[in-house]
Amino acid sequence: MTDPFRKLEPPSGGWAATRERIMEHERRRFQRLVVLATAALFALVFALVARPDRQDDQRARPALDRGVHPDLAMFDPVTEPVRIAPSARGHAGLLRVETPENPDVIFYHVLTTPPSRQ
Amino acid sequence: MPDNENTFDEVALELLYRKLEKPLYNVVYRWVWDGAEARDILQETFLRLWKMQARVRPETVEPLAYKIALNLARKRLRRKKILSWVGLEGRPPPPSEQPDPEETMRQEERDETVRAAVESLAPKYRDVILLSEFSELTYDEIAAALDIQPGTVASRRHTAIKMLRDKLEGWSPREDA
Repeated sequence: MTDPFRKLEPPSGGWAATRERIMEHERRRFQRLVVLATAALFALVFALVARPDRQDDQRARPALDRGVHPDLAMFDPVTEPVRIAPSARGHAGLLRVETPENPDVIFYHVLTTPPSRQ
Repeated sequence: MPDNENTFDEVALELLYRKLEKPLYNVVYRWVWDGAEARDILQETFLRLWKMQARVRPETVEPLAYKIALNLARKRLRRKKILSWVGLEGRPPPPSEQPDPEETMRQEERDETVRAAVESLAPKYRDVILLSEFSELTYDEIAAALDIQPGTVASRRHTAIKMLRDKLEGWSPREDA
């Protein structure tokens, strides 16, 4: 008679090997936690160190004092918003006139000379 | 005060290992037919139980252990079949525990016959017959381990026994299952 369910003995030392595997898993889990905590610490330090410094704040101060929106305060102002296209029909010039009351308000006088007749 | 009845600590895991080592090994072995692999699956099963210890309930941990082990065994078997198909892994030899060469040969022949008979069973029948023969689980617990109804356990076991009897003359299952 053939017994398909003859009981086999498992190899010895099974629990010791299993326990070692569990300990290895715990060691790896602890290492992962340490790595994650270190990475979080580095991220925090980086965020503190890399934030906009006081010098930037000082450069933005004049614009902020004029009531410019904080998001725009650090932008360089447009150098000259008005220009005259070159023309062969005559000469033209631009005179910049700042208003002492409000530096954001600038007048431009356009001066022209008639084209010379040759 | 901690609730000691519900803690699944290392001591509880070791006790469970001592209890289930042999039956689990035998069940898994009949899937992978390789002692080293069966041992590895046994260890992996208990590692997984350890990982999910917060969710383990003592009253259902035994069916859970069999469920994990059977899933792992089936997964390994699929991998072995694929590796064998691409020619990277051969069929492992059956275990030989007899020092006498003639007896060893006879035993190996018997093991081969048994293996062929067990492997001829569809997985759903094999699971049921292996658990009912090796584990000390009740039909309800086997049903829980396999996600089937207890009545299905009985009918599948009956079918599996009939199939094995056809292939293995003179064999009869244990009666207390």
